[in-house]
Amino acid sequence: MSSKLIRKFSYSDLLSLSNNSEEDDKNSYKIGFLRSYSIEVMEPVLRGLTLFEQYSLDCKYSNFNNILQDSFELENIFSGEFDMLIVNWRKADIGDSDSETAKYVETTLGNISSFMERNPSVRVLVHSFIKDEAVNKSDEIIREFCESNANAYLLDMEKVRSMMPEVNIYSESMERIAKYPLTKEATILIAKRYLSIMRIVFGFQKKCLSIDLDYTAWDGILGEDGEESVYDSLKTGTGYSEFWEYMTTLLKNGVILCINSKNNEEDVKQLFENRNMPLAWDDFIVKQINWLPKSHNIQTIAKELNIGADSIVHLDDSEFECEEILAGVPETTVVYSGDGPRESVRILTEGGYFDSLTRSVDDSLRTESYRSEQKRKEEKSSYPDLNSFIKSLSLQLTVFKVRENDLDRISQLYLKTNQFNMTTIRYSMGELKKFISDSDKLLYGYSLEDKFGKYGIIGSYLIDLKESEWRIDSFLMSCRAIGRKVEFAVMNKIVTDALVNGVNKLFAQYEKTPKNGFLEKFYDELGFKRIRVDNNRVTYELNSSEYRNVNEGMIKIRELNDG
Amino acid sequence: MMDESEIRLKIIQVLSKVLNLSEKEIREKIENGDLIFWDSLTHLNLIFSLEDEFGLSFTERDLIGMEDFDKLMSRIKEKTD
Repeated sequence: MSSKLIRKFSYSDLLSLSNNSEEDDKNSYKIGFLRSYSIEVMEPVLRGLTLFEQYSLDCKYSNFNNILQDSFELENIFSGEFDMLIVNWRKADIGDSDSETAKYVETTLGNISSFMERNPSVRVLVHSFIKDEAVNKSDEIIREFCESNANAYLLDMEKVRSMMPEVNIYSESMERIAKYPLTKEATILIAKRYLSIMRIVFGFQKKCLSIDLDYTAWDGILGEDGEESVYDSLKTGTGYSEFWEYMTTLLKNGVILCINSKNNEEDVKQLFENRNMPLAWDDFIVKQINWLPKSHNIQTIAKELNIGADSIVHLDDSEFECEEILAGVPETTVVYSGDGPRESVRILTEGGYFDSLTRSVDDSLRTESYRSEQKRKEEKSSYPDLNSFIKSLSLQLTVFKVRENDLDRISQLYLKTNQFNMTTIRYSMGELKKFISDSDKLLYGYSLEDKFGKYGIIGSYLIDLKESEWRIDSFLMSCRAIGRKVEFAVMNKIVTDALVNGVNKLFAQYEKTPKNGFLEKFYDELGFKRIRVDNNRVTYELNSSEYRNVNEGMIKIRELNDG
Repeated sequence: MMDESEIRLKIIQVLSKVLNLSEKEIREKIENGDLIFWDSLTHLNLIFSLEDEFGLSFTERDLIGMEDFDKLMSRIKEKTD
């Protein structure tokens, strides 16, 4: 089994996938497990599932059931740097009484807190206890820890349990025989939860669900069975109606829905017009309904939305179409829907492809914002050149110092922005939080608005302050705002602020990645001089007298001086 | 109802996936009687895979002494009957 097609896998399928050790040039993350039981049994399953991810894992394990002691010396236990610490424990293994357990949990998490202060880039994922075994006290301590530490995340075992109501999480007989308490179902599901959380914290979150139609979104073939018949298959209580409910939830959570289907577009449009479909025609932002290769359509969708094909999940019941996409655009996540709509929802939900840890306000704006974008595109064609189009938009840029309230969205931008991103440094929530109070850092965000609507917070920059010089450490902008010359207005703001503070020397950096090639000349155009080039990294210097202002007053800028 | 040769084939397929060996290699090992080398981690993953493929669940009693091919074969045969 070598295909990257995601489908319903049996336990042994996952094991045999894990033997597929080709680990090309993926980012590898070092994961340290603190464990109260032999969680390494899960590793082959985890490795099998990681084949479908854009990153790979390098797992290390602490001493067996020695979490408290190990938490005093995490640096020694996992020699060298690591990216994520997973605290995998259950109540039954730690402490004989409720109060003893609570004490154990509290001391351990206290040690981990100080470790996190020493290592602000490490993320920590902590298992909660499931209810029938947990004293509330311990559970409260765990939840409180995850809420108050920006880099800590909860693996909610109650949620795991609710996702597999028909099977037990723990098996006593396995535990007695192998010192491994999890059932096989729980093993797979928890491995999936790990990967879903890692996707989010390491910046590989999916943004768009692209669907096939016949036999994926309804039962039958629209072109042959007709409107009546396919509409009937969506009746309440059927698997297909659950599938549409699932898509409705995704839409509310800011996931972009698209159609990629071999059909006659007019037929599909008619169906949406004539029948009371659970979602509207316009809820699907890009519709590629044609007879072109689907890999081609995926590329069109990515281009129209200005996102990478690696943030698209495509769902299809034809193995041929799935493989065609994977051959043409291998970075796409492709899921097989041929086992029916309930199984599709199950695979997508368990895989957590569209989970987000914190839902920032901007997420719910997203579909609205892509819709205004379609209107802008229509308008754009009626202007002779880009500048007059941009002027006609009446763009308003608002720049502000990042406050704690903005951190969810700002952190999302640092994790997810691939294209307009000068250095692509994936700062963690904890690091960003620290920058706010750091006196030698300036962390700014900016939002945008035009006559068609709000874009929300679209970018951020981070400056290292030295007495007589500023260094632009990070500068990034959401792909939604690319193509409006906003970046030049932001640069004006930075240079002006520097001057106001008596600083006329600026440094900047550009680090080339496969996604941000179009920024190669950005700083050069503004009058920055290249002072060092090593591999993919260019260091720039600017004397403010040599700055070239290319904003030409097209965008209004204001600074929000809070309250 | 699965007959003995079907069960045998399916176990060999599972073993091949779990141990990352070809079905031919597994057959050879069975013939030479040297398929008794499962460490506890592999053993557990094998048990999980067999349960999944045969749609059954082993009790504690089943699992004791299931570490060579013949015992595995007869235990599964009992359970699927």
